[in-house]
Amino acid sequence: MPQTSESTKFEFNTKEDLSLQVNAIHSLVHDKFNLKFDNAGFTSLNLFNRDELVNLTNEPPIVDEYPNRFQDSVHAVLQHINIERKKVPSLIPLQEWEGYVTDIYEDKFLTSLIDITAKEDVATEEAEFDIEELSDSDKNLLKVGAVFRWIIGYERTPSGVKKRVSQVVFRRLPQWSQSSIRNADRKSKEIIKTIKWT
Amino acid sequence: MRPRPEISACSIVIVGDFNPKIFTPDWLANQSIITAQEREACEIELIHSEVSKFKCDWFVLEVTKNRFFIETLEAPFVRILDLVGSIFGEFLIHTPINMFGINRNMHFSMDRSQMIKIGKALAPSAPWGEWGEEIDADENNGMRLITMEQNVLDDRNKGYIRTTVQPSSRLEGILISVNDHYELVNKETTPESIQYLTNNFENSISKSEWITDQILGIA
Repeated sequence: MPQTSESTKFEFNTKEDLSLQVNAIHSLVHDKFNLKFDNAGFTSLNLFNRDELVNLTNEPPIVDEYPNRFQDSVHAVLQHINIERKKVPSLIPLQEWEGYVTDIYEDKFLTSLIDITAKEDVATEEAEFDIEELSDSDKNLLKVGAVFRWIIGYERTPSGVKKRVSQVVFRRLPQWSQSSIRNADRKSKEIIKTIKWT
Repeated sequence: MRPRPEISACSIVIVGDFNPKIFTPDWLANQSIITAQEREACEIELIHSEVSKFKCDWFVLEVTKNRFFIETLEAPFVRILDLVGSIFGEFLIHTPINMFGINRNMHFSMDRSQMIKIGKALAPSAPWGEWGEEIDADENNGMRLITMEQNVLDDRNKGYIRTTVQPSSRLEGILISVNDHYELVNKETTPESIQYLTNNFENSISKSEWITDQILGIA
């Protein structure tokens, strides 16, 4: 579906760019885009112009972030591959809470909740959940104090079918590094020094 | 009630210097960034010295030598932030990071008359003169894509918010894309950069929805 408007040709900057890396991408996309890539070799990437890619991928390419055209080309091809993966369900939140686990017993866990949708920043609600509601991977993360998000929303399948869902997902917050702890300690000491006691 | 998108994606893009080959499902699982069950659900598309790309249960990761990209279509979107926080705030803490973006792609279902109303409001045909009159003659003509940019922002030294509106290719309606872009100019350490991203993430999500509300308010 070529367009008649002026478009930017993707070009490689150096001979080194035309190396194994591109070949690897080609081998991946070869059978998916045989029209353009079948037996085409490296230069076939040049055959794609930006408008064509926009048409094929149905998303605007975010090209300004890439300092050279080789990366631009790579990303364009990767966007191309994205066509298939976009055929996955989308989960749209209607209501979202952040919570933490306050107690666990047999088959349930108790929680305190902060209403994110209402832009609250303190816990104002409590709720009890069945452990069975958790996915297998999230069950391993269940412990007192664990932070999670609770979403009520709807899931839309690629074919457009919608269903209401409630989902609890535990957060995997990064651990504090030793250097972060040292920095926080140093900053707190600096703040304490600036306090003038009267 | 505010209109909800039919399809909603959230992504984080980081521009810096990366070693794509590191980024594999096994590495993420070995560092406990993802669980063993999630690792089992990953589908590798490509792992190579120049590019790594794989899909897990709820996210897609794509890394080239100067670009890290993670996207999810499933709320809660904060999960991709946690994943980025663990990778660069906890493990790859010496990775040079120059800029990052918090991006949303939202597809809204609407009828043709609403789409035309939005198109005409965002890109009136009158300034196009006589050609504009020709365009007005048939409703199949009209705005194809428009981008608005704000680059003076209180919350960053350098960066911008770009919003693009265009017809959706996924459904009868429009696609609104918001690119919230931050450039790091103070030579922050990697954990500081990630903290900066973390501090801005929820606000960025809210702002993208607020911008979207303005556009949808036209219809």
